[in-house]
Amino acid sequence: MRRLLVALLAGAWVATLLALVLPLPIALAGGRIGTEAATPVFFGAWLMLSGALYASGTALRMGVYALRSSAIILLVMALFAAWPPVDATLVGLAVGSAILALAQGWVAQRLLAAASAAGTRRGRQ
Amino acid sequence: MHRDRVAALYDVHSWAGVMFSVLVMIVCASGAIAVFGEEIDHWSNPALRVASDAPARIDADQALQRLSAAAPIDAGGSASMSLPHRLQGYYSMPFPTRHERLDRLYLDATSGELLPPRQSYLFWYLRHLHVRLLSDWNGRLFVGLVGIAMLLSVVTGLLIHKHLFRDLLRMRWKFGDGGRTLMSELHKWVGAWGLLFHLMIALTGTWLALEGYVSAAIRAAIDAGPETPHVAVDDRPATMTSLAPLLLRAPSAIPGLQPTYVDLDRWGMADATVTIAGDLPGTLVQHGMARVRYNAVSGALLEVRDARTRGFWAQLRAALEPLHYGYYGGLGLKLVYLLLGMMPALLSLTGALIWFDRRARLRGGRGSGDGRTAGPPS
Repeated sequence: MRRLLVALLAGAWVATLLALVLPLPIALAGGRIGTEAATPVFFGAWLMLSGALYASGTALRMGVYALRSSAIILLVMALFAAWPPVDATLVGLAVGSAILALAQGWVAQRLLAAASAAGTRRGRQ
Repeated sequence: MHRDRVAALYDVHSWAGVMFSVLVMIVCASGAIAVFGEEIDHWSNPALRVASDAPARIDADQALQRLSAAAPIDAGGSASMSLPHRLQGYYSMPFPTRHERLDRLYLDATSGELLPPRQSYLFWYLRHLHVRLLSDWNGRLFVGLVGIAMLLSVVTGLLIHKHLFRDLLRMRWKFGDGGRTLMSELHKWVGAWGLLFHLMIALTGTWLALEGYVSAAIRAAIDAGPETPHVAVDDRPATMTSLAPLLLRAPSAIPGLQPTYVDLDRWGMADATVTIAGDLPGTLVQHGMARVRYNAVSGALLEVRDARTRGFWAQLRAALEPLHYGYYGGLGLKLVYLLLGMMPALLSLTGALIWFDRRARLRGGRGSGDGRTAGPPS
């Protein structure tokens, strides 16, 4: 139950971002996306991501995978925002997304390092 | 506080948090990102990215003429035209299409050319996820329940927290016991820093979500203002006055008004009216709530609706949305809203983990006869 809840929570965060970014190439390529398009993307991504995260193992591992996945999505978002032609708003979005991505990557790294140090300590004891 | 009372509050805090943790995560994460909704809309619609800082060479009358040529307004009908503002360097007008229930026409305010159709509604996805969990069927009710659960969590969290000020300044990255201490530290630290903000977000969000379910009488009492002047029905065709002079006059009726759209009612008839609505930047008044209504034939002023001059409850109601979405300030405030808005998502995760660990310890404790883990945390 604990792992399932963590998987649903982590999956929801990644799916929220994914449903924002996944349809975007269509719009940037000149296509049209209707108002209802993101609904199946969000719920589909949430289900699949939660399942994949649940299968990945411990809550720590799920957290690290979710943080890294969302960091990658945010970096893709930053790349799309920085795609020319750009204006000040888009540069701001690109920089903001990149900072948020790096922050999540850092937290994931920090969690792994702390868990690894704790494991080493337990091993020594 | 008595130990039993603390234990009861702790139970309410835990259950409200855990039961709604997934919904809190979705509503808060999408809401935090939706603070940058205008920027996301600008980003995801390249065809509508016309320079918003260029001078608008097309006035409202020319824009209305060109837009209504593409989407005619019936004689005596209604229409709404959005004016160029903030990141939107275009006029726009809604019209029904086969593909969408309501699409919009866009007109470049500088060149006067019709723009291609909108490419995406990704901002609306975020907004709908935040406001109604993408569900038209009582989605707002569920979001309102999330707000009530958040309120319960915040208030009970405050009551059971013994060292609020100490925890503001202390955060230990300790992972030694399988992450339990880290989760607990993060939960208390984030909760302490976001306390007032989360209380405000939960209060405003709950009202905004459940407002539609609240009795019409209460809403009418809150919105009570001066009587709307009655315009006698007159079906004779008439020549409409120009919009541009009315747009210039509107800020003298409501100081600080930045018009964002015009509503045309009974257009083309002798009893037609024009309502100019807009924003009051830097004030706690909801976007589009400040309105001036004119007679569309004579240009006579009919009505002024400025929330700042109305009663306390109406002013409070007008302040709820800007307080909730943080659009009364600049970019710095939006960043603060993004960061603090993400915190409940983190709190729901750490809170759920703490709750599961405590249950596991309790089960282990009962098995070994160790009753010390049964009480709420200090």
